[in-house]
Amino acid sequence: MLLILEYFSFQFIETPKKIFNIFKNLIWFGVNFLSIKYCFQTLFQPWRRIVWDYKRGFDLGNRIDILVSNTFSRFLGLIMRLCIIIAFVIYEVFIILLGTFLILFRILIPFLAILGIFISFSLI
Amino acid sequence: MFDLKKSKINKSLSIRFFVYFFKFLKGLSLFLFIASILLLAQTLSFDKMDYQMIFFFNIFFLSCFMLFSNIASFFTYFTRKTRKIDTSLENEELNLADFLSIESALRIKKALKFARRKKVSINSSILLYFILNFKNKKIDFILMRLLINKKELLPIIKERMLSTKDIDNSTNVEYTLDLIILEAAKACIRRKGQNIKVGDILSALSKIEPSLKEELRKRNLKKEDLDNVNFWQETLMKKIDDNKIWWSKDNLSKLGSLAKDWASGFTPTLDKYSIDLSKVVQRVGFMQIIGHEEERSQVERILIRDSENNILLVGENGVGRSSVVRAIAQRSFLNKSLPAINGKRFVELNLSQILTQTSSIDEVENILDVCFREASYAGNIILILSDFDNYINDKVGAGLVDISSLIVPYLKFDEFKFIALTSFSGLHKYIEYKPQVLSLFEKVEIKETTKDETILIMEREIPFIEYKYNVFITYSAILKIIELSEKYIHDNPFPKKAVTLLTDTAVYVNSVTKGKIVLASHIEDIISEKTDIPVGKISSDEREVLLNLENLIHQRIINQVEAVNEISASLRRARSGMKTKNGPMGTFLFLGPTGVGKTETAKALAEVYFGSESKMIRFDMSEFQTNEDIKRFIGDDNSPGLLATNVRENPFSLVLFDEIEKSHPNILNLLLQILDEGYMTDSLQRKIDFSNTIIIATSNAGYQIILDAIKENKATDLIKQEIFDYVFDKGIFRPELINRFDSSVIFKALTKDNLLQIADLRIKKLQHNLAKKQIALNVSAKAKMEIVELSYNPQFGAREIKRVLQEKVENVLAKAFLAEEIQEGDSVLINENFEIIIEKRNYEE
Repeated sequence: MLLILEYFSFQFIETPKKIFNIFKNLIWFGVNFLSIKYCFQTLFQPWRRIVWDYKRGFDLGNRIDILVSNTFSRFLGLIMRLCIIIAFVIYEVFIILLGTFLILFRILIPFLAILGIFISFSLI
Repeated sequence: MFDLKKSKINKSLSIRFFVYFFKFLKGLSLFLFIASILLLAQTLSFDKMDYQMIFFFNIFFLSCFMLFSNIASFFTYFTRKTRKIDTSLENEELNLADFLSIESALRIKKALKFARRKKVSINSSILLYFILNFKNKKIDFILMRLLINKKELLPIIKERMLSTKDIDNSTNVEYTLDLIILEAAKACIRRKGQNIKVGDILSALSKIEPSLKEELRKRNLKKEDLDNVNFWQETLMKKIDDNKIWWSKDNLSKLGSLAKDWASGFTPTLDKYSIDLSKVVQRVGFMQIIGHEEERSQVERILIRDSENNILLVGENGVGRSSVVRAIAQRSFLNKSLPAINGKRFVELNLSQILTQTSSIDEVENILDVCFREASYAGNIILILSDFDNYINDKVGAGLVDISSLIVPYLKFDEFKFIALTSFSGLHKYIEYKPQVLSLFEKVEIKETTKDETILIMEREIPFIEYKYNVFITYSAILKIIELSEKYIHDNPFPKKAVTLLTDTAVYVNSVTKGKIVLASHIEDIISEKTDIPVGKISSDEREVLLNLENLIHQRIINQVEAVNEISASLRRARSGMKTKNGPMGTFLFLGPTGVGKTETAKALAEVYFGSESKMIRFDMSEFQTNEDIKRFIGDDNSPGLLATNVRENPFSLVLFDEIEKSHPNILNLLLQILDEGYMTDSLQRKIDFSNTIIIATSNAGYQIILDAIKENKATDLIKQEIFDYVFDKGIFRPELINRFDSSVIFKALTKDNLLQIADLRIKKLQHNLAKKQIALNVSAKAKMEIVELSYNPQFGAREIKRVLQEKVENVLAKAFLAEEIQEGDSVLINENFEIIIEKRNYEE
């Protein structure tokens, strides 16, 4: 009796929990490896801190030049970070789907195996 | 309490069969499934019939494989599921068997079964036999490191296993199985383990089982050593197991991260002249961080401050300053440090590269300015500079430059985080003279690692060293490294000196001895080679010298029995390991009139004990009386001084301070420390070790008291007291100096009999020299008496003998030689009038 209870615990609690923890780590890895938190925090920041300072005195042309350049630097930063964020979303979706599938598959293995045996006999 | 039958692990043991059974079925069904797939492929290619049957096999075997795989996994999980050990073992109702690993339980079960069959109660020998008598990599690791041969040990255990009584002689307590397992549980807790493994049981048995105890004793190992090796192998195994779990956060962190520096500035110039430690950490691999926890945490706390966040790491070369920085870089890379530090780049500026690639100081300053600007602007750089003192002094020379005026404005800038590494001597000699620089730093002192930490560091390095040099390093070699490097190497601190010695020995064993195993004796060889000190077990020659030291010295020294006895006893104590105090091997103050053999005794000792008179470092202290002389003796900013230089070069030698009462009082003050602690610090802040020297100081002070006392036939103790009263009264020596000598020895004035013996010794020496020219020299007894009469003067001791012999014998012989009166093969007799009687050699005969 104890053995059966242990089996149920193993099959439906412990093993799915273990797989869940592995995928939890893989999800965390995506966040960490692609520095997602940091990407959001610095989404509109200039690319590699490349900015130009405004010169003293008023020179409209120069001001516009610098404004455009600095905006472009921020835009470049935004594009690069968005690329990373998109890659992150794709990765995470893939990991979540794979994880869900593996957990379900692992839980259903005994049923699938018994079903397989029945099906195989039906073929004879 | 220990009851295997009532434990859960016992159930696991009983169903272990199912694990193997279902694993077999799993393998079989997989094999049949693959075979059925191949059959299907063949059927398709040959366009044959009966697909249905083949599909049946395909699906059936695949389903069986899934099912058996699932069941086998369950049984494996069930048998491995053990209760984790609790730190409190106080509860008597606790069944210790529940904490056993499956392997330990199996071994104990077999041992119990054997004892039952033999109708004896289980004892430590039976248990040890069943632990050793099966293949286990962990046990093999422990025994091999301790150089214990399992094959030799097993028959010994087998012989005594039915008769062993496990009684502790000191407490008369009998070690039952409960107590043995309790000891094993404690060993498990000490290594912070979860289950009692076979290594833990072996560790417990090392305190109880007689054969194992004997094996350890034969190898000079303690019980704790087996415990430590067990801890070592468990740490290694855990590291290997952890590395296999690729999905763990720790392992995934090692891949680093992208995009973190996208909001930080480019640093092209800095990158050209620096090493990115964060990249080095990733490339070289992540090391286990050992020691310096406090210092590391202090540095991290300073780095996260908004201001005053520059650090001056001060410590001796080799103490682990770079390791502290590297450890923080590693923690930052793995996001294990403080949030404000995580992800930062630790960049070590290579200033020597800048200096070699530039032609002028202006150019150096320009490059540095750009580097510093980039570092502060980037926002994610922590800049490191080693040997900071080299770049902060006014001295001009190769590899030296003063960047203090350049760096000060940056150090004040909060975004500029800077870690400078320096030594204590560099700090005192250069940086402290630049208060404007020093005030911008927070000082963190790096202490020497402890002996235990150094052992762990060596254990961490050993796999790489063994792989590189194709050797195997024993645990006794590790212990020997700690013992000898602590005692004999003072140039570097722990851990550097230990790791260097370990590497040197591995190279030596691999290339010189062509061996494979690094033993404790190899460490002794290397230390002896490095220091010129004959370390290790007292060799038979040395043992003989020590036992006969008095006789050997007396071959050169007449009389002075007390002095010779005292010196001999002291040396025997030092070399046989009886000595408890720090300090030199022996320290003696020889008091007595001139010419009584004080210096000669020192020379004789150097020759007999250290192998040669050249092993005596002699200082005529009358040469060191002024302040200028002190600098020459002790050293100044430019040179380490005569004393430090000589002792550093010859650490295993006799140091003689002749006529010490004539030296400057400051020298006597220095001597106080040397006599007490056995070391001095030279002007270059190096520790000079005197623990392998014999120090002898001679003095004529109060000699008149000795001469008078001899006439009155006073006892030695009384003479000594009178002399001490005299020297203290006159302020020649302070009591604390006299007290620090192991012994103050009175050299008595020589009697006529003594002089006769000395004359004999000198004449023998002359005879020996003439014998080389085949000339036999004889001096009549009356002539010898005449020499004694002519040279006897209590104030000058034996010095007159030399003069009289030169005048009366050597001069006469020299003239006769020049006049060709004496020729090879002649016999010469000197009579009481110091005339030469030559007996010519008869060639015809």
